[in-house]
Formats: sequence, structure tokens, C-alpha cells
Amino acid sequence: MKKITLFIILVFLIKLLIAQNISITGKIFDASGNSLPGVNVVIKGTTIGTITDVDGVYSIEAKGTDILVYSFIGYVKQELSVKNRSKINVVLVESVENLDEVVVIGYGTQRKKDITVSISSIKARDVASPVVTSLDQSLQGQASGVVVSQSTGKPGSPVSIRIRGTTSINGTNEPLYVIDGIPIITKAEELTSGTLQGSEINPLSSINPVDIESIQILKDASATAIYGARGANGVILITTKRGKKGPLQVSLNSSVGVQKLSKKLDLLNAHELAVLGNDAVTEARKYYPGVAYNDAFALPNRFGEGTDWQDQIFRTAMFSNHQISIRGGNDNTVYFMSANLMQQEGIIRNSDFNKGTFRINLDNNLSKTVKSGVNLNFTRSINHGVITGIPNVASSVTAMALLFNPGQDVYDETIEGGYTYESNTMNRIPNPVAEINETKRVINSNRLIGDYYLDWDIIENLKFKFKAGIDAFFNKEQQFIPSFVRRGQDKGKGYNVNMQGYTWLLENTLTYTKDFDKHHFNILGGQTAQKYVSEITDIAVERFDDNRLGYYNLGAGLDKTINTGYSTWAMVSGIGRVIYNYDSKYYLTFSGRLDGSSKFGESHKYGFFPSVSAAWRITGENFMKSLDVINDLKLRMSAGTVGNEGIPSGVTLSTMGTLPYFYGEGANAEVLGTYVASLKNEDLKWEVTKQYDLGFDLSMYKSRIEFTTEVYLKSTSDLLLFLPVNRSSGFEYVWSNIGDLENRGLELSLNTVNFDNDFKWSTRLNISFNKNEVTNLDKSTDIYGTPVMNISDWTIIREGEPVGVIYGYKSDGIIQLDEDPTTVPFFPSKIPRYGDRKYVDKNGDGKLTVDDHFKLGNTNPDFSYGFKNTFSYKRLTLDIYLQGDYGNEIVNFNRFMLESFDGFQNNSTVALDRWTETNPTNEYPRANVSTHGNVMSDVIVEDGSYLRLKDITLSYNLPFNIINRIKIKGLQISISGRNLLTFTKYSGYDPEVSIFGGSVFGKGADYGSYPMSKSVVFSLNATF
Amino acid sequence: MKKVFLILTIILLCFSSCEKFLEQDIRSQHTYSNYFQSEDDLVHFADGMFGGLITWTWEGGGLFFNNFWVLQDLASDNCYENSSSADMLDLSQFTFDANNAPVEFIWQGCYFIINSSNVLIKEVENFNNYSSPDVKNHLLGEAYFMRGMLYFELVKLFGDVPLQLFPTKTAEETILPRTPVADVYKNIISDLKKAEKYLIVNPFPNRVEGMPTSYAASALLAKVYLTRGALDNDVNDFDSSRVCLEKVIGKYTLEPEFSDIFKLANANSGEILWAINFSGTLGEGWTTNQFIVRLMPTTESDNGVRNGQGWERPTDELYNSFSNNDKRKAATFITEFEGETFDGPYIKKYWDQEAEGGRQNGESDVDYIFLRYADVLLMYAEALNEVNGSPTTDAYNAINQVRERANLQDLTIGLSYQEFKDAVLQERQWEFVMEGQRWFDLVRMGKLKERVNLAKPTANIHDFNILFPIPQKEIYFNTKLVQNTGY
Repeated sequence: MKKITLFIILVFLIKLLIAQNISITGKIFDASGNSLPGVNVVIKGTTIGTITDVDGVYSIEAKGTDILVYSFIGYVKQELSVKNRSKINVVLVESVENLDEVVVIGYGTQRKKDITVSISSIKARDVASPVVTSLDQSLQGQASGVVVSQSTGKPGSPVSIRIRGTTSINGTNEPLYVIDGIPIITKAEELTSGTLQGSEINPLSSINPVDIESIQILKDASATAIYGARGANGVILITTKRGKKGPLQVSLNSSVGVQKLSKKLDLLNAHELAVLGNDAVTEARKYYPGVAYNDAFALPNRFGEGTDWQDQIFRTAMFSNHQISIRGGNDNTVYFMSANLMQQEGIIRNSDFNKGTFRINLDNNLSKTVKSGVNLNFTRSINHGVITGIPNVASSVTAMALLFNPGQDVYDETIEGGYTYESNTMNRIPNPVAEINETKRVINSNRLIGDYYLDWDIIENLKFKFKAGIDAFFNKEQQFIPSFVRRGQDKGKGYNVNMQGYTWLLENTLTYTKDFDKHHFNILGGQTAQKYVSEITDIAVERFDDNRLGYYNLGAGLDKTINTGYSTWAMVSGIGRVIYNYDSKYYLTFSGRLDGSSKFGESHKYGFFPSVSAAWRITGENFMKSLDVINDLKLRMSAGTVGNEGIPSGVTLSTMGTLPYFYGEGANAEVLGTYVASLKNEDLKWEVTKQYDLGFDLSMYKSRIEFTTEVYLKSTSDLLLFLPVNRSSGFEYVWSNIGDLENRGLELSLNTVNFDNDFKWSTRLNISFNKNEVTNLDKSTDIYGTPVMNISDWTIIREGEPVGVIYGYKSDGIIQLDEDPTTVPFFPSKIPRYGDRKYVDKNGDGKLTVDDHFKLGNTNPDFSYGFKNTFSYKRLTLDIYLQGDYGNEIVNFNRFMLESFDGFQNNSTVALDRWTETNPTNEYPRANVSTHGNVMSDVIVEDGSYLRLKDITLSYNLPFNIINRIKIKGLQISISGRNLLTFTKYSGYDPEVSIFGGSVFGKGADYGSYPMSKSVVFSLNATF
Repeated sequence: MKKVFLILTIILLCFSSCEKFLEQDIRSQHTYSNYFQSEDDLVHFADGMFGGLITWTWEGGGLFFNNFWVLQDLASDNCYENSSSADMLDLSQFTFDANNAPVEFIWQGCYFIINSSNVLIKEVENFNNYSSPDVKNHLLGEAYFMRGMLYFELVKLFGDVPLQLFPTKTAEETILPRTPVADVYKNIISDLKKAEKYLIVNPFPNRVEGMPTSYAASALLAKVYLTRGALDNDVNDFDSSRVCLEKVIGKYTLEPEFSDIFKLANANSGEILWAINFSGTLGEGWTTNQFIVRLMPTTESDNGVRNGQGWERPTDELYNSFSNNDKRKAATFITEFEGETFDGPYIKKYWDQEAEGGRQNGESDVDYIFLRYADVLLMYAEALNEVNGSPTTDAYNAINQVRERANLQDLTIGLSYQEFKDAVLQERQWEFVMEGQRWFDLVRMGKLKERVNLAKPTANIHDFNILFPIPQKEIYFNTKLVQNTGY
């Protein structure tokens, strides 16, 4: 207050001196209508100025021709001519980038201009889109080097993030998430049992994106080495909003919307399938006269369009998201509190995700030197799921809907349950509508993430920080499948799996900052310990005579199986860092972490992970001072070692399992014997990633143009491999450290403010290129992919190739009538006929074997990009956000079934263009019931590149004169569309697909997946 | 400030026991290193070794869950495949290659239990505090029986195989080349001789049914000699086989009615030397064993079988070879049930209608009979014929006992060596449909290609099919393995 008083006196004096001055008052708001206290208001070209008071109000004396400059840290500076006005209200927009802005780094903060490591910062505004339900989704395309794959449209499902490529094969590849200093549990298997098919929980859905102040993504080793053994995949630091001194601010946000399937697949109708089914038999009978027709297809003319099974499972789904937050405080205590309720229906019926979140962040000054605070975040979520993405013929409801005979009805009143049980085609497809309506799958999740901190300025420049945190969860997974649904196998099945646990963290750090002349030091040292404990109770019950009580009374079933489990790991670590700079020109940073982990054997418990970085801020040099155009130019490089310990606990030990046997037939005949379940590997150690980074930052025209480019090399050695072994060992897999892999990449990001008047236009563009290669796999062992319909060599991890290469046969047209089928190279024991598909015999030995496999593609994109444009004119803002991948392939396994041409299930309409004697196409083979099985070939490998209008939002801030009348400070209305347009050649539902998520053993496989939706959401944002 | 120091001190105290904090804490599982503490632990481990025969964790079913016995009759003249399973169709038509999944399952199933037997032998020898020496001996006998039995299966199916005789400590040390058949047989015989000796006294009153006996070891050893004798044409082996069989002859009697052998009421008794004991309580439907689901047809009547898939069905050649007098025909096959006529015969011998009729899904308590007395008698007939170069009276007696039960007339006296041998093979075919014998029998008698060509003219059978391919996956991981010729 002293300063303000001083200013007022000053202003008063000035007023006396300059008689022709006019008195100007006004109020300053941020974009969402909150008043901004502490904003500098200065008359341009003078040192005369003032700052706004707690209500954001200022008054100043100036000439009618003066220009007033409004500036505030973190906001774009504004200049306005007085033009003889006496009242000037100003809206300050948060700046996209600001050099003096403070950036959170691991265990501390730094000014942006002093950053010498690779960090991408993302602002609240960019993650708080109302359409986004979890923060990982919102990172897509936001930062270079960060590839976000949302592989399913299932509400509440996990998202896979790769920062600078795939570094591990069996260790984790997901980054470490640190929320307000607490590394939270993000591995789905540490939160849920995974036994419940069809519903997975996204560990990050517990954090409400609207609570987030900023996100920092640490990418290079120098930034992540302070996280040591968990830094190899990058670290995502999330800072939540804190209280602000000032009057109570209430913010209300309400969004409602609808979601729809982007496109339907073109399938045969009932009549067309019946004709195909009969043709397939007719064709087979040319060679095997005994083949019988399927009665289901008799008299095809009796069929018309039939049932559209896609319409039966998909729906227009509702979405709503409501939140309230309050923020305020006095000199000693500030607070931020929020509550959120989100309900999202899935576009497949009976799937949805609902959650409620509460947050309290409190900070309190205990004395002039001691400050402490508490953050608490509680989430409860309920997730109803349907089974999708299971790579068997008909386990996924989407696959069932695609494959079910359209000639059949959904319902059959004559049988128990009232549904048609299964299709009458050769492959007996279960009824997807019965599956969706009658089976119940739900995950109930309760989770509390919280921490307490205490900051103490022991002496000047020396700060102590204590932090204690917890992430505790209780999750219940329930499932019931009644006997009359085919998955119930006539018995009925019920499951109840409870998993509860927690991770706690204790941390003490000391930070010493000291300037000697032009030498600036920032030294950090500390200790941290973390432990995870979980317990699981798994109940499975089968044989229900009465299905009605479902999972609410599992006691009603006859066969009960109960399992319990316990899992834990612990880490103890020491951290240290020295940041030095000379005159903000030359920078040098050393950091490191000593990690001890319970997951490894006695001889390899501890690992040390050091890093170094250096930077030269060229704009600090005198010779650059004259170059006004360039306001910042920095060259930086770093090198370091980080680790990966992302393996399950206990894997270095040889453990015992149980197996039953029966001595006789009586009731007491059963015994539970034991066996050696796993091999011991005491030598198992940390996977180590060495990383080198060279970066270049340029900021021009007062930060209107900001350009950053980086190149990196990440080489990982001692890969943690869960390696299949020779079965003559009596074991299937062992954990070992074998092999090396490498990621090289280039990242570019360009942020520009193209127009900056009443009409504003800013763009943010980022592109990331990454090349991955397995440089060494000892024993030249190929690692096979996750089997899809029993094919596991469709993707192989192989020395000299990237992870994610697709292999298979190359198709070579169709055998035409003018060819001699007997001369066509073919699969041993299979006989080629006219109209069969040919494949290239690579080695020319006259037969098709594994040796004739080609490399057919790569599931990793050549580059990923995001391009965001923000246009604003006065109170109107338009955000257009484009995002995409280029150069990756998808294996569309749906086509095995949809282009089977055998009448065993429904097919896509390409079947109408099948080869016949009168339609000698080279593209599609003949209809035939005695097919040669599923052949993994280039036919089903498709270009997965896409460009997508990820998000388009039009928002309007209502003028003050209107909202003042209804006594609110700000009101914004907006309409957003997500995934409205997608440009891709991919023929499946959506190119953002991967039934095995980001798994290195099967990324980019599509089969019966839950398609992405497009959505339109209307939002209202009010501040009081 | 005092408070702050207090907190600091508490924290530092917390971590004074840092070493313990980082210990691996596995509370819900035993580790191998701390498991074997008592006699009971050894007994439980032996139970788990037998458990691998019926169930096991990698692929669901245990070694005798389905693939073992299905393969024997499918890759022969007995049965053909009626499902759309490519692996099974390939076995049926001899178009299989090294990627055939059932063959791989059998390979890994055998070695899985072999490792248990190796662990058991080592840990039994390490332990000193036995309640009685019989306990130690019997446990050793169980382990040697299993190891001998499974290497015998492996050597018959694959020829030379890696001979792993110690508990696996690391996978690398088990990367072994294939041991020649002769050495594998030496070890099998040595193991089974130990089993024969150690299994004589069973000190476990609750581990009797479903437990191999000394007689079972003798009979198995006889089969080993018989097989090696046929391989090397060594009369000494045939004679050793005779000696082993004579230890069992007279100790058992044939079940008077063929169809009663598989009745649950007669489980582990009568002519059964050793059966691998299954129980329908272990799971539901086809998950416990697959005798009903694979072989039986689904019936319209609720007194029949609900979830019978009839995947493996008898060839016409097999079905028509039975004379209508042969009681085994009606006991082995089902062609109609309560007025419902099926589209041909299915195999029903494992279905105990009285005990398990009307069950909903085909889970069954029926056991897999590994050795029964009829097998002993027919082996005896075969061995005598081989030793003497022509059938002896005892040889006729042995085979005729089996024929008489089936309501067939005695064999004509005066058959030549080859005629008698063919008669034994024929008798074994009728007697042991789907009992895991046929492929071995045909290979031992040198008739595989001839008989398969007769029953399945379209089959792609070759001379090299007397061995199965080493699973391709195994060759990937163990580069010291060389594939069998022809594959």
C-alpha cells in the first residue's frame, strides 16, 4: 500500500505541475473478466505511471495526446492512445511467451530466458478446452517432440504419450507425471487389475484440466536427469492453479455437447451377403463338389436391406462438463478451490465415463520466512465399458456389429433373454446388441492426490523445502455376463475385483542462490523417498441359475474363485544440481540423481544419473545490443544419462506358482501343488539412456516471432527385455538386459503474432521428426508382436530396424483365366485356383514361405505436427487447431474378416467388385468358402497419415456494459467442434487407432476398435 | 523453528534403515530360494509337477488337456478334423509345418514338467529331515517317473531332443544341442528303473489314486524297450520288454466289460495301471478337459451333451473296420441318441452317460488313462512275437484275452510273424481309439504312411512324418537346434 500511496502522491504532484493533464481512470481485466491488480500503467516515453489496486482500478493524469502503456508479467503489453478519454477499461491478454516468465523445472523454477535445457511449456489456456476430458489428451500436437496417440474413442480410456520416441521394449515408454511435485501413479496396472475387459481407466483423468496453471514437458537429459531412473521417457510437470491475493473470484464453466461417429463403414446388405455366400459355395464346388450350401442364404431374393448392425450399436452421445472454482486470499493465506462434474456418454451404447473432482490448494505464510501449504485433489469416477479392440474374430462389439449377418433380426422373442443368440453364418458371431445391453462392466474409482509443503528461508539466499505427498486409490471393477449372452457361455459369469493402494513421497531440498558480481549461482541438494503399495482382491464367479441380481450378488453363482495379491516397490534418492550463469550470457548446469530401487537385485540396486548442459545467450553480448530486431538468441547443448526402471516389482526373483491336481475322484481329491513360476535374474539392472541435445532459440520483434529448433540423439542400452526363451528351459520368458536402441530427432517450433491490432492473429506451429532403430539385439533374436488372429509375425522387433515395422507378403494381383494356376508360387499344401490372390515369391523358390515376407511399412510416423491459429477481433476469438501424423502405416485387420468373400460373416461392399470370370479384376479375389486363411499382406496395410481439424472454437466475451448490468465480471460463450474434419486415406473408422495402444509389440493395429467421435460442444464461462 | 527441526529429525530417522526399505517385498508369493523348508513343501511341489499334466498357466490346458491325445489319432488313419482350426486340419491332412501350435504345446508342456521333475530330484536330495525314508524314495520315484515318461514322449515325437537333467537356473544354460536318440533312451531307461524301484512303497495314504506305481513304471519301461527295439531292431530290447511286462502280467485283470473301463465308478481301479486324474470341478465346460467338447455331438435331448462340438471324428476306414459283433464298436462310437440320428459316428467312449449325462456344458471328471492292462497284454503279445520271430502260445493268450472281452473270436492259430504283428496293430487300433496311442503304434510298426494313405487318400503324408518338426519358435530361441528332415 505504501507504494500505491507514493504513486498517488506522485501523480498528484504531476497534476499540479502540468495543468492541461486530464484525469483518467479505468479498470483492468484479464480475458476471462477477472480484475487484475498490480498492472503497471505508464505514460509512454516517460517514467510517469501507476499500478492498479486490488480491484484492478487505476487512475492517472495524462495529456489527451499521450499513449498509455499497460503491462503485467505474463500478459501481452498494450498501448492505447488517451484520445481525451477520461475512462479507459482495458483487457489484458495472457502472453503466449514471455522471457521473464518463470518456468517450473524439476525441484525449482527458472526464468524462461535462463532455461538451458529442453522444456516445452504449455499454458492453461491451451489445455483447458471444454471438450478435453483428461490432460494427456490435451497435449496432442501442443509441443514438439511429444507424440500423443489417442488410440481409442472409448470415454475415459488411457492415452499413450511418447516423448522423443520409443526408448524401451519391455520397460515403460510413458513419461513420468509429476503433479505439484508428486510423481503420481500413471501406470494403469498399478491402479487397476486389468482383468475387466472393455474398461480401462486413464490414470490422468483424476486431474481436472481446468485446474491446471501450466504444464512443462522436460525432454532432454539435462532437464530430466534430476528425475534419474524415471527420466528416460521425459517428465511432464503439472502445476495447478494457486490462490491469488485479492477479493474472492468465482468462475463458473458449463459445457454441453453431442458426439457422433465420424463415418460408418460400407457393408453388404442382407441380400448382397446371401448372394455372396451362395457364390462362395458355387465357386468352391467347382473343385470340391461335396461342399454344401448354407441354408441361411437360401433364396437370397427373400432378403432386402436387412438389419444395419452399426446403427444398432452406435448412438449420438451427450457430453456435459460443469465446474466452479473460487480463488482469493489475503496477505497471509491464499486459496484456490474447484469442483467439477463431467458426464460423457460413449458413442457405443451403454458405455460412458462420469467423474467428479474436488481440489483445494491452500498457501499460508506462517511467518516472514516460513510458508506452508496443502494441495488436495479427490476424484470419483464411474466408467461403464463395452468390449472393443480384442484381436479375436468376434470378441469386440464393433467387430460383431460389422460381421453379423444383416439378414437376421436383433431380437428373438422365442428364446431366453429375447435376443438372437448368434449369427447363422459359418463364423458364429455373437449378437452385439445383447452383449451391449445385457452385460455390465463398470469401474468405480476413488482417488486422492495430495501433498503438504513447507518452505523456509533459513537465511538470505538459502531455502529449505519439505514436501510430503500421497496418491491413494480405491478401485472396484465389476462385471456381469448373463448366461443367455454368448460370452456368458450358458453359465453366466460375474466378477468383482478390488484394488487399493497408495504411493507416498517424502522429500527435503535445500536451495542456495547467490550472485557474486556477474556470477549467478543456484545450487540444489536434497533427498527424496517414495513407496508404492497395492493390494488386490479378485473374485470370479460362474454358473448363475438366476441372472437378475448381477454383480450385486455374486453369492448367487455356484463356482467361486478368489485370489488376493500384494505388490510394492520403493525408491530412495539423492538429488543435486548447480546452475551457473555469467552475466546472463554463459550458462552451465550440472545435475544428477542417485536412485535406489527395490525392483532390482542386490548388486544393482543403485544407479547414478548425471547430466551437464551449457548455453550461450548471444543477445547478452554487446555486439548484439544494437540489433533491436532480435530480442533473444540462445544456443544450448546438453548431454546426460537417464534411466528406466519401469518394470514390475519382484521380477528379479524366482517365484513359486500353484497348480491343482487330483488324487482320485472324491470331494477331497484336489490338491494345490506348486511349481517354479519364474527364473531369477539377480543381474537385472537399469536400462540406461544417454541423450545429447543441441538447441537454438530465437526471439524477434519483441517476442512476436519465436523460433526454437532442437536436434537430439537418445541411445538406450541394456534394454529391459521380457524375452521369450527356449521352452526346453521349462520357462516361457525371462527378464534380461539385452540390446540397444536409438532415437534421433529434429524438433521445430515457431510461434508468431502475425497481427496485433484490434484484429489479432497468432500462430503456433510445431513439427517433430523422430527416427528409431534397434541397433543391437544380442543373439539376433527377433521379438514377435502381439498376435492378431493368431498371426504374430506381422510386426517384429529386429536388429537394424525401427520398433514397429510391419512384415508380410506382397500381393501380386489375381490369377486370371489366361494364366496357369499350377505355375503360381503358392503356400505349400494349398492349391491356387483362378481368382485367387497371388503373392510375390521373393526368393523365387516356387512356394510362399516366411522367407518371402517383405517389409510392408512402419507404424511410426515420419513426423507429427500441430498447427494452432488464434484469431481475435475485439471480443471475438476463433481458435483453429490442426494436428496430424505423416508417414505411418496402419494394419487394418478388420479387412481379414470384411474382405473374406466366403460368406462366413458380413463383408464390406468391396465384395461386390470381387473377381468372377466375367469381372477379371486384379484387386479382389473370388468368392470362395474354402479360402486359404488370413494372409498377412500389403493388402491390409494402409497409409495412416492424417491431417485433422482437431479443435475449432469460436468464443465471444460479452461486453462489460451488458455483463455489468447482470452483476458479473465476465461472461464468455463459445462453441467448439472436435475432430470435425479429417483428411486421410485410411479406410477404417479412424486413423487414430491402435488396439494395443502404444505397445511396442503392436502399435498401429486396428481390429474391432472403439472409433473416435466427432463432437460439438457449447460452453458458457462466467466470472463473478 | 523448533518444529521444523523436529520434522527434519523425524524424516532422517525414517531413513536410517535405508537398506531394509529397498528390499524386495514379495508377500503374496513364495520365492524359490525360501520355499523348500519342510517335507510338505516337497510333497506340494510333487503335486504341482503332476498338476502340469492337467492344467498349466501359459496356454490354459495342461499337457493331457487335449493336444496330446488329439494329435495321436488325428495324425493317423483314425480320425479327421471337423472344425475350422487350421492347426488341427493340418495335423489331420499332414500339411502341418514347424509352426503347428499343438505340436509346440506338447513340446513346451513336456519340458515344463521336466523342469519340475529336475527341481524335485535336486530338492529331495538336498533335504534331510524326512519322517521316513519311504517319503524320500517315493518322491524321487515320482520325479524319475515323470522325467522318464516325458523324455520318452519327446524322443518318440521329435527324435533327438535337448536332454536337460538339472533345474534351470538361467535360460542360457539350457541352450543345448539335440542329444542323440540313443543317449536319450539310456537316460529314460535309467530314470524309469529308478522309478520302478522307488515307487514300490507308497507312504502317502492320500496320494494313491492318480499316482504312478511301480507297476506303471514297469509297463512304461516295457513300452520304452518295445519302441527302442523296433527302432534299432534289437531283440535284446524286446526281451527286456518281455521281462518288464511279466512283472505286471497277472497283477491286474481286464475289466469284464470294455465300456466300463471309462465309467467314473471304475476310475483308478480295475485294469487301470495309471490314469492322469482330471476333475470337472476345476473349471467350466471345455476348460477342464476336452474329452466331451471335442469328441461328442451336441444332442437335442437334455440327457445328452449340450456343448459337444464333434471336432475330431472317426474316419470311415476306422469305423468300418469294426465288426458289428465287436462290443467296442458300440462303446466307442455314437451314431444316434434317444431317437436323434447324427450325420455319422462320433467318439463317445469318454462319456459316462449315467454319471455325466444331461450336463450342460461338457465339463467332465473323466480321466486320461495313460496305461491299462489291455495295453500290457497287447504289448506282451507284440514282444513275444518279436523275441521269438513268431507268435507263441502266450502271445496268442494275451491278445485273445483282449479279443474275448470284445466278443471277438480268438485269432487263428498259425499266423506268421508279420500276420501276428498286423493283428496286434489292428487290435490296438480297435482297443485304443482316442487314447493317445495310434500315431506311435503306426510309427513303431512302420505302417504310418501306408495306413494314412488308405484312410485319407488326400493326405499329404511323407516318409519323414515319422517325426514331428521341432517347433519353429524353439529353433529361434535355441539356435543350436537343427530341424528334422523334411520340414
